[in-house]
Amino acid sequence: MADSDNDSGGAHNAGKGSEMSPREQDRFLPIANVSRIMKKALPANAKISKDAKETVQECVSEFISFITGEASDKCQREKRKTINGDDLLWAMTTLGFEDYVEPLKGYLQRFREMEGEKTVAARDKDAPPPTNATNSAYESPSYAAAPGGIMMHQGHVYGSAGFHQVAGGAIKGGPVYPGPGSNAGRPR
Amino acid sequence: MTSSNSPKPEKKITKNTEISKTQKKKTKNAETPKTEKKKTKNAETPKTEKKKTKNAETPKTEKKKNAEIPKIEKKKTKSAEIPLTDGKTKRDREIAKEENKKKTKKPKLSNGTSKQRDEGSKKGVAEGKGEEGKMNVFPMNRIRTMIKGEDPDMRVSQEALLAINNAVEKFLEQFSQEAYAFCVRDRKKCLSYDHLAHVVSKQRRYDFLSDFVPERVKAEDALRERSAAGTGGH
Repeated sequence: MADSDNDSGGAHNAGKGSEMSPREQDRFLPIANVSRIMKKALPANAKISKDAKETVQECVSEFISFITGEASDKCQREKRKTINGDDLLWAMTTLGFEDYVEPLKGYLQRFREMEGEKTVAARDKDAPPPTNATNSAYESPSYAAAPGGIMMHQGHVYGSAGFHQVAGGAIKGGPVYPGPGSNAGRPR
Repeated sequence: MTSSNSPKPEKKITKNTEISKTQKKKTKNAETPKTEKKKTKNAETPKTEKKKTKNAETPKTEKKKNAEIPKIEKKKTKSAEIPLTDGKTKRDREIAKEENKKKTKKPKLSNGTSKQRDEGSKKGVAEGKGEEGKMNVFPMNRIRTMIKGEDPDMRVSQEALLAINNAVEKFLEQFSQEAYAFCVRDRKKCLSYDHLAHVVSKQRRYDFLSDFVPERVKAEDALRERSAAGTGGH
């Protein structure tokens, strides 16, 4: 097993050791998704250099850490252990991305509505869920400590050459994204 | 040796708790968790295999090479990403399952089912419905892993992952468009690092990126600054 540089000892050393190498790739979102959204936002004839894609990939990771860190601090101040959507909206307002908040509220509202529909459709045979699911989401109750709290250190070292090579190969191959058929009817 | 054996009893403990929960639940509900257990059992074997191979450097390159070939054949990049996430985020999935069970006790059934669906078939859900396609652009497990890296003790709800997913999309669109504006101003066809660095230096909201994307000063830019300062001063 690979050596683990984590502080916590005992049960989780083995798991953490084996997860050290893939952690580099996990620090970034997939570059194919990143470049696809960049191209969608730009004119059709625009070209994006590879180093720009990689730079934006790092910026996105930093953006997530930036927003999530602020939301996490807020939850800790309020003695809560679960970050919910409203915490992130608050964090964006605080950190200068307030123009994101209104569209995201719309998304979250639609998400909660669709959740209601999904639950009813998925559990027709079972007891219907209570309608206060959305309300309980606002309350965001705290849970008991989850076992296996993984200590994953986000170092400030960027640039996994292997990962970028794989991403480059994916782009060159001309990726197509057909999805499988509808899974709404799957039994749970 | 001892450290390698230690994670196993935890899994056993979790399984025992699963059994007790299924007994408590109704008979109708009992069928679904059984299928979940089967899925977990099937998923465990390839995970252990991946662990062993990941320790050595050479098999990593082999994996990457192998990953490229099916991409070309199937022409699906996402198909290659899913097994990677399977291998890497085992504990996150376990945590998610436990959260699902807790939520079934409490009135949050919808969040639980949505997680299962998202993990099971991101592509189908994302591409089947237009609205959801917009909402699930990035793999949820990856975002969850990144957030866990920020603060391991903090839990993240499903709607928080959704909010981050959409916020990142907006961030990407806005950042790209602003960088492209500078690209057009420079009369260049290819968006490059310098345009991104220029956006970061010009806008205050992107100050948190200034350490990662420092602007490279060219002689031309320096001359422009001098001329601007000259007109201002004189």
